[in-house]
Amino acid sequence: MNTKARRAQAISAKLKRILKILTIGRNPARTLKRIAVTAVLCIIVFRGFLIPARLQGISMEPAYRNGSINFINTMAYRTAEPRRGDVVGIQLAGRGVMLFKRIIGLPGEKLGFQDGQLFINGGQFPEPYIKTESDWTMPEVQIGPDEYFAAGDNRRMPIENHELGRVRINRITGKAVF
Amino acid sequence: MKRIYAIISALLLIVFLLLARGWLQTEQAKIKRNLSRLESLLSKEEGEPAAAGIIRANRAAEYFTGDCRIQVNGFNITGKAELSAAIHNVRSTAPGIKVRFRDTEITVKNSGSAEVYLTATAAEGGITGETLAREVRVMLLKQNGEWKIASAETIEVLR
Repeated sequence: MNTKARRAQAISAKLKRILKILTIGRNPARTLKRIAVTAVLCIIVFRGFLIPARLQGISMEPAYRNGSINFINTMAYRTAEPRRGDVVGIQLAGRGVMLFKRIIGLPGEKLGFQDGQLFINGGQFPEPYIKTESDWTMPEVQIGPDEYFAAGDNRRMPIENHELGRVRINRITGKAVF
Repeated sequence: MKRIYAIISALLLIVFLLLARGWLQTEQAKIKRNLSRLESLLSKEEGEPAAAGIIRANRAAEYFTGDCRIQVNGFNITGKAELSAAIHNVRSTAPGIKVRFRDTEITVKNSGSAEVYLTATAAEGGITGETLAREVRVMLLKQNGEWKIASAETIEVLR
């Protein structure tokens, strides 16, 4: 074997070693353990505390675009109550499909819309998160003691095409991370 | 010769497993299978011929009892014939619909009835279109060995 061939063989062997280190590490047993631990952690985190969600629909535009990815933090309301302005996940039959809405009314309040303006307990209430013009008008509703009022940000949509209303606290799964 | 015996044994094993699958199937699994077939019948591929639409609507109605009661978003439908017409009407208005039943929770109350809570989603024009999601309570009755939907009503989460 000449020098050139030997050098080529050495380079090939070195490349193979680098590739092996890059794919399974210097210690394959340790790499497998790390993969297993990471997988278990991912399952615990993304099934229990941070539920990944892909948004479908335009009801939360412009803040949240159709098709964007977000996470619902299910620990957010373990020690605190939902606050006005929070974007929350609202559970239907399970956590596979959730409604993504903003809390605009708190328990015990009276809430209504007049020419696009939000009224709470008879007084006009500013909504800094609303970036679009609106003509929403809705008679005042009484929010129950264990209820919140949820609506989307896209007020350009006609109110009759928009899903909004009172939601029971046990339906609120968690708070949007972003 | 040994090879032939091996092939015959494998075929017999497959037949046995297929039969066993049917015998061992739980009531929940049967209901789940019916719901899966129903969601496929309610869905519509773009460019579906009109005649196929009528057939699929009639086949979908076969999963319901003759006197079924459906309450969806304030609309009341009673009976299989009315339901079949309603399914056909809804399917014919959209170019394509993808219906899915998610988060299905089945409770078999006794040998003859069952209650199912699920989230029904309907996406117009495939995954990219607008999606409607509703929680639905479904009551099923077992008639002649087959699970049929006796009633279905949407639950208003935002009231």
